Amino acid sequence: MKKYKALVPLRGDGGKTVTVGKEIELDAETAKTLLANKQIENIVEAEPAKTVETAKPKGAK
Amino acid sequence: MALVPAVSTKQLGGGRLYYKDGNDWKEIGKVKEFKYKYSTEETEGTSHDGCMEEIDDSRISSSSGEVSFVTENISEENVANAAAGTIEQVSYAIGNTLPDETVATKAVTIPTIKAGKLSMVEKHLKFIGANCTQGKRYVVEFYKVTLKSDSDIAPQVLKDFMQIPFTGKMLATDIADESELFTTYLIPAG
Repeated sequence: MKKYKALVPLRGDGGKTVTVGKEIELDAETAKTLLANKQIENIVEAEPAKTVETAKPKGAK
Repeated sequence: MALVPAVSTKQLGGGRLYYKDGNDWKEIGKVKEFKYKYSTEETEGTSHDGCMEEIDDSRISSSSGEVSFVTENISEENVANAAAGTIEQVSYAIGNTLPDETVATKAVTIPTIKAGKLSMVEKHLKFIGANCTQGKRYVVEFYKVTLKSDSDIAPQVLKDFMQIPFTGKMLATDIADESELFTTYLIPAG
């Protein structure tokens, strides 16, 4: 099960409405159909910020 | 000549209403009110022997009856009967838009009632009274009732449960043992 973003109102578990922009967990087969219909989109996870090591000034201990 | 006092036969209201479905009796369910009325019409005989016309005979010449009940059971059958409609099971696949404008994420079958498809909703009804006072159980059977719902159905009133009101006309049948409009049974306790 993977999370997707609703692009249209969806009927979620127990008949609850998942409004546009909200996340929903779907199996791969269901997601394939809804992605093809442009009814959901993949959630792009933001990449974690890289830690930049600053060069130590020469002579520093 | 003796004075014969009446035996107390008070009954508390309450009971269940059923309709015949093949060989089974299915409960209409959550019946809030149930009433029936039996009416007769008379034909009068008159004589003109004197100066005034006088009624000298009176006979019941016709009878009719009505039932009415209110149910809070919003079943497929009750909704269909209220709309003189038929029930269709409509299937929706994943990705289809449903009647509430949401998109199906699972295949779903939705009972769908199309109004006005029947010219008559005819039921064989039976009311079985609850034996609340340890007295007689009051049972009434109506062999042929044409039902209709001509009062308001208000699904959006939040302070009350949704209700479907029905009225019905009792009709005679051609079946030998069921030719009367209705039969009442007073089943003794114990």
